Amino acid sequence: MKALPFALLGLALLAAFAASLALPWPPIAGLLDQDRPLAFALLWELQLPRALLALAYGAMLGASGAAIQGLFANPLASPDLTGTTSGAALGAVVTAYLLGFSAPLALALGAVGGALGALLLLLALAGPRAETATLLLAGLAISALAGALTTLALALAPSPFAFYDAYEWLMGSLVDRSLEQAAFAAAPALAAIALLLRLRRPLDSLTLGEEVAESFGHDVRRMRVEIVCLTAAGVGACVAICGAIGFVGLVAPIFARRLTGGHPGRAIVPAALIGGLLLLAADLAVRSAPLGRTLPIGVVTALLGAPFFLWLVAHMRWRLAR
Amino acid sequence: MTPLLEARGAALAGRLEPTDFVVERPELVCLVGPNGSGKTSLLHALARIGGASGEVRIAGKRPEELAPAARRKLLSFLPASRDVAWPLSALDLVRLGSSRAEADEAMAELDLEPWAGRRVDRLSTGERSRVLIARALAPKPRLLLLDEPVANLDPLWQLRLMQTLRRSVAQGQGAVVAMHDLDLAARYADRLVLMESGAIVADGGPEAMLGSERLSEVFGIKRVGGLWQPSASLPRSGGEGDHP
Repeated sequence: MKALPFALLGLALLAAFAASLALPWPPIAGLLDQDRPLAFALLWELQLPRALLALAYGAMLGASGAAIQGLFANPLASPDLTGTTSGAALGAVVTAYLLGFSAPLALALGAVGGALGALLLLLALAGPRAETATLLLAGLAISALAGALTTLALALAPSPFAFYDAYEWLMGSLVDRSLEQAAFAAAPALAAIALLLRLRRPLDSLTLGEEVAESFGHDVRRMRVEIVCLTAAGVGACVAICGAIGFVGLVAPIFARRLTGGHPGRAIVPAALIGGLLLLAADLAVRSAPLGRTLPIGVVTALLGAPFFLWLVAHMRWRLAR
Repeated sequence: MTPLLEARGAALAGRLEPTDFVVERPELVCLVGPNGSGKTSLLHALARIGGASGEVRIAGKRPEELAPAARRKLLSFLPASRDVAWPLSALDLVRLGSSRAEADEAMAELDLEPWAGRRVDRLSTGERSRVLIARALAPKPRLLLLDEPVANLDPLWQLRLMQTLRRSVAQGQGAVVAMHDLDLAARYADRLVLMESGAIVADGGPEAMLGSERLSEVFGIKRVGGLWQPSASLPRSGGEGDHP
């Protein structure tokens, strides 16, 4: 692992975080001159939660994507393609609109439950080391099911505005979240990332297959449970606060492994950094787009991520065809 | 003296009967037996893979009680599959279980230096096999557990690998190796262990084992004029009588 790319990545992340706090600069600079306490309140209550959420959610998607790809030995596994984020969204929608609990903690618990359910269903459907086709089909089926059930839950919700309310959140949004809400997403995400980091070496040894990893003394079954639970907890908490954001968990680990010579476990740290950077950058793009209104950030990641995904699928086909 | 390997009642549900198996001193032991006779299962049970029961001690130590770092010095397991999940370089792959110096030495032993920086998915199956064998040899553990190491190797490398294993044994390592080539096994092994239906059915010196009735019976082959032949002529598709 080379130090320079990591240093550059860290610097870019810091720069993006600072930009996320300080942009748009002219009005903030003006306010700092005129009314310092108001400017700080603005930074603290509006800008900081948004930047924190982008950083933590992106890092969580990157780290869990790297862990899931390592676990399934498949570069097309990610929290969104496996249906985890859709499951989390379903859990949160049911909690908020059918059960009527809207406190951040209740939402987070509902989303974590939904994410866990989706991942367990995926393991049951596709098996622990799934072929690409099986994995994608199982993920597609789970996403479709979770999506349909989410729509059903919203249709059955007592509130007539449920669809309208939920729409922007479901598309993924970091806007207008309080610092407390940000903490409800960021704390579980950072804890989950820290715990995933312990699995770096066992995940690297899975490169040689489960048998060898076990002969090294790694408990592969326990590792699978840990990765599923940590991903569900971290991603679930983020989805509860910010909605579903796609493709970051797919793209970040793929770039990260280029920095680690292909090692899947060692890629967790750079994948977290790249994930945080991607989401901060996507949020900056959302804010500076001259559209006169705010796009949901999930739209931006999907617009950028989907072509990359298509390229990846085509690339794999060419490689298999050769 | 503590035996190099002592297994008591080692078993895998549905695959391997409770098995006692002892290797007193550094030896090259070859496991032979038809497909599905339990060679891989015995290796799994010895390497404590897949929820194996019973007790295994290597140089007096139970592998389960050791952390990964210490365990790599005790045993290495080479699976029959040559699949590698991620396109690491050959050197990085060998280094997954050992230090840089150990990896370099193992790669030199198998003439792999020119491929050190090459991605393993761009190697031929035989070259990748050698890289994976180097991975298993590199930590120089007390016990090598190798599943079909000569599969995919060309004749020269089959011989060179067996010579390498002999040198490992001379340096105090034990090796339990599943093989299909009876003649190659008999030529290099100190002991042949014959397996059938998930159990050890015969165990002895290579010469005696190779000439034994039991081996002929288990495999359904016999030696005719120095060549192995099926004991009973098998019916052929569209068969019109027996072909020699």
